[in-house]
Amino acid sequence: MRKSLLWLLLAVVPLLGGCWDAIEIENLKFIMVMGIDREPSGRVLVSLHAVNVEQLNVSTESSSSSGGELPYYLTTVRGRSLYEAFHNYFTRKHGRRGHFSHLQAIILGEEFAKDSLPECIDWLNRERELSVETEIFLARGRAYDLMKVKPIQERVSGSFIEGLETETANIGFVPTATVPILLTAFTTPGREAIIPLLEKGKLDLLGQGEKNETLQLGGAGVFRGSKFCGWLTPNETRGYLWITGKPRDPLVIVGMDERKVAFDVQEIKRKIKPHITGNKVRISVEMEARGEVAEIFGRGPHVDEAFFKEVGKRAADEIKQEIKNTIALAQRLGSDFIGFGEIVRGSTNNKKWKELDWRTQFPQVPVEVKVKGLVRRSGVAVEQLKAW
Amino acid sequence: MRTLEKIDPGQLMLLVMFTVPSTIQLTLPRMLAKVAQESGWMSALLGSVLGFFVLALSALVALRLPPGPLPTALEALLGKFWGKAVCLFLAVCLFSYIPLMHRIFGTAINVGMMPFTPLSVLLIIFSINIFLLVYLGLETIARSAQAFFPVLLLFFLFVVIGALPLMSLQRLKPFFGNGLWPIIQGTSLVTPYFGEGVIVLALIPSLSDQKKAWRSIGLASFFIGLVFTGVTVASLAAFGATWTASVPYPVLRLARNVAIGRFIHRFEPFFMAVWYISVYIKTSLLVFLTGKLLAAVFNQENYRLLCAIILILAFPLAFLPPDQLSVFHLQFGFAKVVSIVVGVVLPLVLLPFTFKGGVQK
Amino acid sequence: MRLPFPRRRKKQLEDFSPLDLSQQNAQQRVKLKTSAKANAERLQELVGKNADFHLRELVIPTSPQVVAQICFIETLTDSNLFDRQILRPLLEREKQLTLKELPGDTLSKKIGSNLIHSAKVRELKYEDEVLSNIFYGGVIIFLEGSEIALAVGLKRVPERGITEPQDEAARRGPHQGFTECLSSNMALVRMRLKTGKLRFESFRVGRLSKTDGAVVYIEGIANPALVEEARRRIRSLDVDMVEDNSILEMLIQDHPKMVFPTTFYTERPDLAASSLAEGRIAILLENSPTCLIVPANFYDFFKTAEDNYLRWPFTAFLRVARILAGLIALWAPAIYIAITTFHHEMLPTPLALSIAAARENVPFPAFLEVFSMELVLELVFEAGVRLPSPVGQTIGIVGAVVLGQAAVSAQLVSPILVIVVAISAIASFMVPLYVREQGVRLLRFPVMILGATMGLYGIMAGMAAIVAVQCAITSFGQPYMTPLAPLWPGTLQDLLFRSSHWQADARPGWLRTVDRRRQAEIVRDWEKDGANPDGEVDLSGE
Repeated sequence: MRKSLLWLLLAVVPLLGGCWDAIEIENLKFIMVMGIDREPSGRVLVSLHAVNVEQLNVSTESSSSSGGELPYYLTTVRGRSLYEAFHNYFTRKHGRRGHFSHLQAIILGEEFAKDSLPECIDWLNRERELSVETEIFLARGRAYDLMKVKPIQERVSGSFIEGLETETANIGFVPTATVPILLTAFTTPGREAIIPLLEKGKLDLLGQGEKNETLQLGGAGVFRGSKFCGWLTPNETRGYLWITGKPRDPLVIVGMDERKVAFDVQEIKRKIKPHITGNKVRISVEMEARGEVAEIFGRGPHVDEAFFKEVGKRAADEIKQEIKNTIALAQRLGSDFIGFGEIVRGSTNNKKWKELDWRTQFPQVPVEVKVKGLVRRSGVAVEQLKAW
Repeated sequence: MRTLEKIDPGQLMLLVMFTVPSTIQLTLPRMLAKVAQESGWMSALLGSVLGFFVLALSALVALRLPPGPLPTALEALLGKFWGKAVCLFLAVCLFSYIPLMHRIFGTAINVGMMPFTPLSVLLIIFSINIFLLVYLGLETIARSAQAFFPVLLLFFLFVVIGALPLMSLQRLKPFFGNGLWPIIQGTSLVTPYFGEGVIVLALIPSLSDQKKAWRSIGLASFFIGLVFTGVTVASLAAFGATWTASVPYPVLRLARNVAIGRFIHRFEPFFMAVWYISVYIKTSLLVFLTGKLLAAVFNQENYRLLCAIILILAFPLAFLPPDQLSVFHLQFGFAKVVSIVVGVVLPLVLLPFTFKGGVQK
Repeated sequence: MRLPFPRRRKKQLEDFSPLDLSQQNAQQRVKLKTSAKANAERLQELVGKNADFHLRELVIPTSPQVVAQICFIETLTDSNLFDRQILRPLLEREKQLTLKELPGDTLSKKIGSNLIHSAKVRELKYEDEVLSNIFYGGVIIFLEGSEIALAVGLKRVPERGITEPQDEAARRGPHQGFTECLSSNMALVRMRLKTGKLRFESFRVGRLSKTDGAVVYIEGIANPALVEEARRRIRSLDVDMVEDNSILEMLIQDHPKMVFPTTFYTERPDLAASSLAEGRIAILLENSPTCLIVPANFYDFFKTAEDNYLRWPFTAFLRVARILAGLIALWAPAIYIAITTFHHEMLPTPLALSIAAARENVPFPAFLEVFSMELVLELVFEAGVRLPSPVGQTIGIVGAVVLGQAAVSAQLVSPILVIVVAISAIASFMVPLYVREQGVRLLRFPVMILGATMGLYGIMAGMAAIVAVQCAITSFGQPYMTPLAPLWPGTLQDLLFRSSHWQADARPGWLRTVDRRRQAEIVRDWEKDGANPDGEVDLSGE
């Protein structure tokens, strides 16, 4: 009897445990997007898209275009540090804990990004709720202004930005900067951080003219160490992505006499080779782009193998130009966001690497670019149709 | 004493496999990244190869001991007093792991899973679980290890495969970037822990098929090496040396990257839950062996009572380190020393006696 | 290994009264008397005043005449047979039997072998034998002057025909099920295993019930130690009554206090026969339409009879599905609670938002929500199972559809939760054996409590404890988790993927059968003899 009582007691102990970490899911305030700005006073302004769960509930029952309120609201909090802002000040005003595990995007305002990247990186590394899929963006100007834009299709702005990023990265105009990618770029020797640029755009909706505000992606901001050092245009960004082999479905428009041919790149192979002689480094980039012809716009003679070969060659020239532009820009900015340094370092040892003094040498490093273009397929049609 | 419980060679392998890596598993990549940067994984590999010899030392002694359970064998070998003294020494050494394991475990759970739950509550539940398993005996411990092994294997693969998209072999270069010395230094973070394999001294007498002992030991050290090297390679390739060195539990951070489609957003809690099993089986085994040894030393029939006392004693000791960093120091300082003493020095001392006694097996 | 859980000391029964004579040892047994009359009266006294007890005096027309007393219990004997096999031959005057002055014992023998037209004649010397025989449908014949009584087995008990097994219906495979009649059950097994090695060892348990039973095994396959263990356990039983095999199961299993069943049972003679061929032991019991099979392991409870009759890929799929179902049934509600209250980061974003939205107006914490829904489900199930099927269905509809729907629209529970509860309920019915499912249904509640207090940590602790206990318990001395822990490499494939019949060469290793091999090396021998190696048969005749 006494023994069974003991066992019962042991069984009940977990019950006495209570629930320190338990929070009912509806008591959380899911934060979907977060914008970070530096105020002139030096304090941090954090703007947040908090999900309004109740609204989400109502609108799923009625149709989504019923003109109901948005299922999230925008709010701002200030603080001396990031964590203070949303931990102390947010909770005080909203009665619920902000929850970051479903944060989709973090937008860094230009002022903040200029010199506070390490502060942000530390938080990204330390925050335990943060998911690895959270993406980081830069804003030209204030992040808060971008946060005010209503998404046009998704009901929650976070999902909209996320979709925008995925698709734009596919066509090759923005780099991806999720937390692990950014953190490794920041810490790996011979590589600099690069963060996509999110900006406001105009959109024609239902024939109202280009009046509606929306968000658009394209281009990137690059850093040198922890300092922001310049912007990349969408095409320069693509130059970067060509070298790193990231984009899944980029398109190159090739001029063939009067015709414009759309060359859809489907497979990218590239090889970056460092040549080190003494303390001098030379880098050669070899790249091969294979793809198919997606469109031939304009009229012209017969389409044959020579035509495809020529398309490949001209597309290669296009790509080579983009790459060269990007490398020139990188060397002008003195920021090796492409990661040549990492490859150089990989082929030497740490002592040699220190001697090379990559950050000072990089702007003068000669880079040789070779691009091969290959039309592998002509798509679902070969010949152009012509009137008889 | 009760008759010996029997384990088979597969179970021996699993028990050694559960015992050796659990102490440092989660943190190892961080320490190796600090010492040897990108080449940390070579330390893990080399350390594991050397570790096999450490493990083999204990196994060699264990196989040359006179028959019977460890305490009787030691008494037969060294005489009554010295036999008991060695038993007591071994028991004290094994005991010193128990509070440390409690604390390592509790801290990792607090960091990775439940930041607000008090350590004491976590440890009470942990201790109850261990007591149940210890109460049920060695065979049950071995069988539990076997039953959970497929799950553990699956989760380990999940973690490594899940981090694949992030990995880049470029981050492991340059090989031998700082020369050989840091790599050799790094092995000192790996090899000594194979000394925990001294438990085979107590396990091999229970082995049903002693001929296969070497195979078990070899396979065990192979798999342990695989785990050590695997997690180090994965962490370094995914995060790079600098970042790895800044994270307390790189393996836990690897688990964060596992997302099964859109179905499970984050994997960490599952991973921690499964890690629970590996530490739980190790600690149970330690408690069990300590209890058995002490029971033999003090001529007690009831080892279970001793195990309960051990658990109760270990509980407050687990609170001794003031913070997480001091836990790391204990892990990579104190535990290392104990492992060397118990896993290298003790077998080396015993080895001549086994030859002198001329025991054949 | 025995589970060293604390055992309570057996209380000594103060007034131990021997309830019947068979319990007394041979020295105290009372011999029959020479007087038939006296014997019959004594029997009447022992049986007591009973409406169905009949006593009849006969004069057998032999020379010289013999007076016989015939006793029987009318409700247990076949009156047709009685007439044909006893009355008519005894009273027939045509075939006279001359009996010279014979001693009493030889007289009985002579009459038994010459006049009784029955296969089942037994000679009895003691009162207790007489008593037990009469309750087994025997007709007792006391002969004047003989100390030996004759018992003629004319048992006729109420029984039903062989029907399809209720709980283990299969689309493929035989449709016969065991019935309550021991002899027909034995016949059902015997006709599937036509070998001289098949053994039925009969036993009798229960002081009051005196239930007959049989330990069935195949000699030369089943491990003798296992058979001896079964014998030993059954022989040692001392209870008043064994109504059903389930009682016997509880009496002989290793860990009767555990929620996990450690003996397997089946209603299907084909499954019993195939288990015997594997080297297990079956136990049949009178009045019980099931057959116990020992030893059993954890994975046996995920098998069904039909598994053997389906093609192996589908069986493999079903096995995996069933094991998953078992896991879901036990863990799904707990994991739901743990994730929605502790580990919100594990949910994918859209799901997290929709769960939060659905729970927004629910007044209860997730734990109470799940707990109450599970309780309601148990109510519905228990209410439905005892009712006749048309009413039972109505209960199901009212309970599940109306109540669930209403609870959701009243915002007492969230719709996602209803799905979780329903899935776990369906999963718990997918696990074949009712016994197994009971364990799952019972453990679900403590596991939910763990999930609600400590999240996945608690769930893992619970799982560790459950697995530890499962690893410790045994079934007839064999580890419960056996093909996996301890590992039997050869048997492991059968755990998930039942190998095809022509490949299943070995009997389960963990049973340590005497004869390991099951069949010839090459079963499909015709393949090599065929004229055409492709297996094509030419029908054109050219």
